[in-house]
Amino acid sequence: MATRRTVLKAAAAGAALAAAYPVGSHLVWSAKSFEAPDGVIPDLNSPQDGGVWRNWSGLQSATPRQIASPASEDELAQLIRNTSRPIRPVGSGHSFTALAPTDGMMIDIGRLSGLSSYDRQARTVTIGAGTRLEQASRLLDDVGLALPNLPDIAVQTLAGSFSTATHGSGRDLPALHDAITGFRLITPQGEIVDVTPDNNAELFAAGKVSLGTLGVITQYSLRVTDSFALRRRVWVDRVEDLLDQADALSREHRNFEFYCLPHTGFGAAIAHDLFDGEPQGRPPSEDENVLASLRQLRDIFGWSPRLRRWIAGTQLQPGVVEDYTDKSWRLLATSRVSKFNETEYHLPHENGLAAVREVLAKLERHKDAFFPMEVRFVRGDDAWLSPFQSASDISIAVHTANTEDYRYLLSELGPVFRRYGGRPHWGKLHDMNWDELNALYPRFGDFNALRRDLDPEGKFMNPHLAALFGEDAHV
Amino acid sequence: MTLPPSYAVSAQAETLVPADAFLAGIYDRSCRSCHAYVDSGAPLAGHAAEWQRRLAPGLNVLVEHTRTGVGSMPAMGMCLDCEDAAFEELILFMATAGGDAAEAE
Repeated sequence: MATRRTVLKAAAAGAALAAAYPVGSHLVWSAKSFEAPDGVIPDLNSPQDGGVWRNWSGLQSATPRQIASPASEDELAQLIRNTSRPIRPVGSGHSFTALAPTDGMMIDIGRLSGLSSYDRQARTVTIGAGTRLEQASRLLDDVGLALPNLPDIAVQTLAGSFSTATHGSGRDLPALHDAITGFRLITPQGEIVDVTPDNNAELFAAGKVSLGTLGVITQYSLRVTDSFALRRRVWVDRVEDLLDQADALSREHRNFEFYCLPHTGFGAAIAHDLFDGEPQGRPPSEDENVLASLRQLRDIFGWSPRLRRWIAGTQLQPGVVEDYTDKSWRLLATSRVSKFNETEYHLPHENGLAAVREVLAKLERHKDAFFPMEVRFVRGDDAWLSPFQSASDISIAVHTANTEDYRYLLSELGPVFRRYGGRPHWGKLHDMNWDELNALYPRFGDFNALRRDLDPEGKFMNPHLAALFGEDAHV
Repeated sequence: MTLPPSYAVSAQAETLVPADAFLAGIYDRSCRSCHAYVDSGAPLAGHAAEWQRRLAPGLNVLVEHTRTGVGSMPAMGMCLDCEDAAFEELILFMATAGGDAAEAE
């Protein structure tokens, strides 16, 4: 069953051809720095004391007066009651937007982790909101249960991923937060409230995706599934062929997504389907090697898009490169080695694939671009701030290396996403504010009214959130 | 760069947990998501050769790297409440756990 074929080996061919083409534009390109201009990215090598917080990519930072890691809900409630604003909850720091930073108090709920209870027959669990996705998957697997779907990255906390509408791929599978059947909230006043659709339908619909603005969520009740295995297949194809087939492939497979490899003319498709047999496991991932080859192709041949595409064409051959079986959580999510910054928008299905073509064309105006562009499918749901709006939204994610200039993701790709009716991922780079968001979300005003009711002083606001919710920025 | 671990080391890394309950709690919620899985690129628990190489400049250097972040690991290694003493013990656990698989490498 296990199959692995090298996707791309640019290095050797690249070096030989580079030596054979000592032309002027290549020499200029060779001397070029791909790093962002000064001031665009914080100095990632600067010494920092232990009190300074940074997100995973290093783009966001904060010097809070305190980072609190309460050991219990009571301790947390007391802390919130006795602390003046601002307060921000922080998860694993995997948001690229400035949701978490504050110079006030950051609350880390990492200690509120672990499985509190489970019902194997009913397929329900109660679990600490600070539990990371990998830990949650492992603990559930130990008792024969599983989350129905997972995003690419496994280190986010449940609270962080749910609150930003983090998602996997699969046109019949909603984002992760749709598994929530109830949650415990410590309000900005320090009250402990158990919220379900029956006892408070509005707070339930608002709280599932709430950007940490309604207080701090400490535990979730979730609807889960029996543990299951998947068969994973990855194949390389011409990007035009993948785009033509994408809609049909998204209907054929439980989880389908694809990557467009910029400046190559090729893409990689990933499909996962339920597997009934005994899973065989998988060898170590080759993703980092592929990324390194794409970067090298850019570094050597980026000056000539035609030559770069031709070299890629000699190296990338359509066909299956991976065919494995394993437990669902071991195939769907991992932790990422190469750091990046990222934007992502979710578009109504009917617009999505046209937008993919246009975004890819815009992206390929940048010779620096080499990170694969990711396209996923997500079923809509009814959380008030869920960005998933159609029966099967199409999510388009574009990345830049974390030391390189990311600004064109906003300035050049942002307008394309807007034109196609896209809603931004809350944790990924975007520059939408109150006016646009209020127009895009039918319940945005209702959410804001409920938020103000719970938090009239704006205790859980920071400048980024103030812009989203049309509040005074001096918070 | 991390030395590639053998299959035995990779397989064992997924099962290793500190014996001490306090450390095991931290390891489970903060470290294990990366240090138990080869695809994370992190040095694996029980990969003695890799830890020996990393420990050469001294344990205090690794603790400092944990505090400031290094490679893919964010500052404080996903344990914002950890003291240096806990980082020291967790590093030593990962460096010395599961000696048999490491020797078989």
